[in-house]
Amino acid sequence: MNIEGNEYVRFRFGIWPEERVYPSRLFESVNSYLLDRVRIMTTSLRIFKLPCQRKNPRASVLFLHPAMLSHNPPSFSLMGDCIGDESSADLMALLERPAEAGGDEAEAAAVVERRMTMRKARRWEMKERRKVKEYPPPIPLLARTENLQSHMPWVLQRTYTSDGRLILSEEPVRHHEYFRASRRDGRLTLQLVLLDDEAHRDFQVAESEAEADQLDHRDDCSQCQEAEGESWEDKISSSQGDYPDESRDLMPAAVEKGGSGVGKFLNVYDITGGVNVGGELNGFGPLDHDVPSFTSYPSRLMLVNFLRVKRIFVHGKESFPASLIYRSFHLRLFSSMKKDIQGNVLSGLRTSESVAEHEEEKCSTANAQSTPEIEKKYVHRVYDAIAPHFSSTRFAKWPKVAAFLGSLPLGSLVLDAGCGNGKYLGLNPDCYFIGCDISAPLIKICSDREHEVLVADAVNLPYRTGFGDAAISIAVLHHLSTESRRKKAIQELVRVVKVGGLVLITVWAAEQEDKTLVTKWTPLADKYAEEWVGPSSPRARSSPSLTLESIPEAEDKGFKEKEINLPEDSKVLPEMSPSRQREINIDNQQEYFVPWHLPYHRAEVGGASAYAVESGLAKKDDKKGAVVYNRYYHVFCEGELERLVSGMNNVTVVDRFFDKSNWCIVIEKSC
Amino acid sequence: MRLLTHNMLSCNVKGVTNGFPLIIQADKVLEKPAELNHDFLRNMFYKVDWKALVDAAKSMGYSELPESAEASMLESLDFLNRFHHALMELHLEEGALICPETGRKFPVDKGIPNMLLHEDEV
Repeated sequence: MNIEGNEYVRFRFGIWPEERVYPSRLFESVNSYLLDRVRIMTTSLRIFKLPCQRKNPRASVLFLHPAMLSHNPPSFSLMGDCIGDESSADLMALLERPAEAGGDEAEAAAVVERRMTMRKARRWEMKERRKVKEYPPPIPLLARTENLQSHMPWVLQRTYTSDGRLILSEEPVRHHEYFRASRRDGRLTLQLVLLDDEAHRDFQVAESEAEADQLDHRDDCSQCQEAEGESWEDKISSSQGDYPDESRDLMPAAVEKGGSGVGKFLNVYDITGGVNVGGELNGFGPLDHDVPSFTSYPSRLMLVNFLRVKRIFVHGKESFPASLIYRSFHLRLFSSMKKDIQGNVLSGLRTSESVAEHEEEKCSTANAQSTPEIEKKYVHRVYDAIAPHFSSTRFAKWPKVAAFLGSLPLGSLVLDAGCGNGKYLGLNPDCYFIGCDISAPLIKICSDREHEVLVADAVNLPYRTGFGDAAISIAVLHHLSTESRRKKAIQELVRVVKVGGLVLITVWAAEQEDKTLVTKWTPLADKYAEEWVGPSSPRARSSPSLTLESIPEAEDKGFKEKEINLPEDSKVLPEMSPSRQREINIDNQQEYFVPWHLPYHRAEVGGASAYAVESGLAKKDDKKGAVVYNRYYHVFCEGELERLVSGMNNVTVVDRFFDKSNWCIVIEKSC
Repeated sequence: MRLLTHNMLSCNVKGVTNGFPLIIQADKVLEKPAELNHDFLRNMFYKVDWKALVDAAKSMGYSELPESAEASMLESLDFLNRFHHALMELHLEEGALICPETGRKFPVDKGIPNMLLHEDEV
């Protein structure tokens, strides 16, 4: 089938919306349909769906019109990136153009068809206008683009000039994580809450709370909602009474989706009638409302759909399940983007589906394998940020490790889990080394030195069982924040070596030879989470799973270090009140923040440090001329390593020793 | 990434029972000469999954390895050279490793495989 000229091609999708189809999936199917079976004659084409017919809401009609883009008014391309309800108006205008030029019979039929749909579309549009009374308000758009770092949010300010032109201006905003929600006169107002609690820059993000709106949507979309809505609708009805009307309710503006690197973050924000422009993101609408949301991949693809978000309180925990409600959509394809589309759609699909799941995940108890927030924030991110400087200071090979590696048989395969900058890789030229670390920047340094390395988590090694001849874990386990994770890391080391293979593990000792060193560390109190994120931060409240109550208190009473003074450096902890500091029990203290001073001349190398300072991950210390990062450490007591391995039945302890303030253990896999 | 590493790697996504061998998607392959270490090769011969190595070498464009191998072949210098070349000198510089069970793709960027899992995979 060819699509040429001004013809409209009508597609009927039998499965939709009878079956549960996500917009992105539908798009995918449209896309593959087009690419597989249709020779697209024009370089650009546009697909859009007109509103469902009232009588038969299931009949969904897709129109393709290749000529539409060529008729675009100049403003349209602008709005392609950022489009609100205006799109409907523009769309109608576009629809009318071919009608004027209609000639032959086929065209006439198409015109009739078009007029019918136009009429419906107008009705729909009128209804939309009624619903959105004062639209458009100046809605700032929190956004993220491909080119910007994920930590640099900006808002897109939309203003209208007197002659009706739409002005878009970008305005960078400080890093922030939360919205403060309040209701005034039935309008939901969201304000960005800055991390440093400076004077708030208020952004009236949205208006909402129009009952008619809600009813209308319910009415129209009931068919479409059914499939997706059902699962959580019940919960809502039971908990709706808990919906907070008062201000001071905070909801996440940015939710970290996990993983590392750009694109792994799920930005969550409000979007009444508004627009999201950005990379891989999805939006939260005003609470209790179906709102049109635009999930847009800049200049590539625009999906218009409805996102319903409700706030639920179950057992004192709040969550924001979101579901996409299919209502109408606009797809905009550019021929040059054909290849990109599928991937984008799939990622979009994942994102949208996982919003609700994400919240559930947050509430579930973290198992040994999932990385606690403290490790991400105070180990992984710190090492990522300080990698080059860290590496430049890590060259002295520890004699005990060298001796262990030297004692291995010729031709052994040695696996280094948590290899850092790889200073032990290749130490014995008769052996072969494979290193892994969770920090990609450190692994990059290893790779530049021609070491065989990969990025992997020491708690979950991607290796076959019994492949290695020996394994080492040097100064790694003390960065794991729970006992189960430390144990799992040892089990992984044992798993990957052959029977009879040796494993060397070294960790920092609580019994430091240089006592003054300990005074430079910041002991962590029992209630870790509060100090880490600050008592005023809502994270501690909204994400109870992030607390680390599972960290066992020190059991070894043998070590007491009463002479420890409260460190001056404890100032680096945000919002740590003096009274709180006094409460810290320094006896048996095993949980510390250990500072890393990144000199200014190095800190200036990348933007990472500036961001770290801004976000509170690091502090500037002008006296020392350095950016101070905190690294999380769980220092080990005497006998703690043995205790960890004592429960493993396939392990025998070959050697244990204390050396240079480290506890070390050599174990053998016995069966 | 050398094929030695490939022969050791296994998909560790939660619930995967047969994550080995990972399928190689080779976008760019490099050959870097390496010193032949007899002890190491003999040691590795008993560890490597031969079929996985042969298939991996083929997907990297090297098909000089015999389909099956026995320990007696280690006496042949020619065999050792080929084994060494496949195991140690072929580098997957750009591409991906794909889990045979789930199709999960682990990217290989500048010779570095990224085997980190997403939170919902552990």
